[in-house]
Parts: sequence; C-alpha cells; structure tokens
Amino acid sequence: MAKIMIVDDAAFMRKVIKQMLMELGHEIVAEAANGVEAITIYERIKPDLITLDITMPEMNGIEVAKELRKINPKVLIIMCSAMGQKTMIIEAIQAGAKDFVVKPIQKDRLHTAVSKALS
Amino acid sequence: MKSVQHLHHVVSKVGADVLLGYLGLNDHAHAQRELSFQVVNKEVSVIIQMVGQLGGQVILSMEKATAREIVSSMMGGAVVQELDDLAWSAIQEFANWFVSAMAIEFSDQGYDFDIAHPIVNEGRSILHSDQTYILVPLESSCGKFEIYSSIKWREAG
Repeated sequence: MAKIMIVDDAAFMRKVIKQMLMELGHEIVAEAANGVEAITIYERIKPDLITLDITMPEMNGIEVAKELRKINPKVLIIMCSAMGQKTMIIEAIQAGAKDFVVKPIQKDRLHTAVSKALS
Repeated sequence: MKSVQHLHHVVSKVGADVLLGYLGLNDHAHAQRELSFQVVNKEVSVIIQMVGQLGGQVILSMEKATAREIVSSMMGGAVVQELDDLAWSAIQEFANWFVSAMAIEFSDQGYDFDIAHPIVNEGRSILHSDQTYILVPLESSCGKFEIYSSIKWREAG
C-alpha cells in the first residue's frame, strides 16, 4: 500500500482516480487541483507517489514534474492525461514521469503503472 | 485551411473513438456540414481553445438530457437527476477527452497543439464571431451533439 497524492483540476477525475486507487488498496493522502497547490502540498506531505494531470491552470503537469524533481530527484510521478500524443508522452517522461496513463483511465492500466513505479 | 471534408472526417472518427471506444455508446456522424459565423448553443456547451501548430476553438453543444446521459455513462451507469458540480466537472472532462482525441489525431498528421481548460456555458445562447465554424452533428444513444470547430492550420515553414 502506498501513500498517493492525486493532482488534477477536474473534481470528477480526482474522484475516479481516488476510487480506483483505494480499491487497489492505496491510501490517498492528498489531492490538489492545480500545480502550485501540488508543489506546496508535496513539500509538506511527501507522498510515495503522485498522479499528475497535464492540462491544468496556473502551472501545467510537465512544469510541475520538473519542479518536483528539483525538490526530490527520486519523486515517483505517473502522468494521467487525455493528451496522449507521442510528443506529449516523450516530454512527460523526459520531465521525470515514470509512466503515462491516457484518459479515460482504465483501472488495470493504472494498477500496472502504479505497481511498476513502486517496485 | 484544410478542407471541410477533412475536419468532418476527424470529428467523425474522434466521435466514434470517444463515444463508442470510451463509453460504449453507438454513434453516428451526420453527413451534414455547415459553415457558419454563429454558434447556436444548446442548453449545455463546452468551449475548448487550442493553441499551437493548429489553433482555434471547438465547442461541444448538447441538451441537458444528453449531458445527464453522458455523465451517467461516465459514472458507470449511475442515475444522474441533476447537473451538480461533480457532473459539470464530468462534462468538462468529456469535452477534454473529445478535443484531446482530436489532438492525438492531428498530431499523427504532423500538427501539434495544446488545449486550454474547458469552459462550460449553461443556457441557450447564440455566439457571434468573425471566425468560420464548421458544424458536425453527432448522434449517439445518449442523444445528439453538435460539434462546432473553428480551426486554423499553420503550415510548417
């Protein structure tokens, strides 16, 4: 079981991801609706893993991933975005994401990504 | 600007991908294509801006009954009586899936763009613009949608 923070500007997606992760036995220790909030909460809570949306107000997920890597180079990030173009996936991985899950999220796919990142 | 037929093809394909592939809903893209300087919004419209090698705006417009059916499908069949904050968020996300699927399709054709946070308009209205919109009506088992697209391609130099 991991302590996970969910970062997504859509309340609906935070609820969906939270439900999936809890069903997989993980604990949701924090939620953030934008990148700035995510960085502030991360520094305080230091979760084991973060699911991170890309298209968000204030600061997009790619920028957030780069900032989080400055704070902790070993931070575990899984990008969750509908913007699944090859260029976007490459950019996310280069920014430090361990995996990229394309929305709408399938529970099995999320489970695989989380397990792989934590192993 | 690329042809109206080309955009119609992309919207139709994306409609099938999102409605059938993501939500398990049958869909049908009407052949009708209209060029208009007006967007006639139904009860619920979601507006998404695109910026990049391809720029413009996509508007998904539908009646509230259709929106409730879509949210219900997204929530695994839960009954949706009214559009509360969570339902509005789901409708925004649905539009996000739709335009993101367009982004993937166009990216495969060499045009990359980012999308902005979706904006929801509740209530019927008419949007007047100096931009030309292409209207592609889609029909699904959830109800009818109208997809208005105003897109400019920036040819690679």
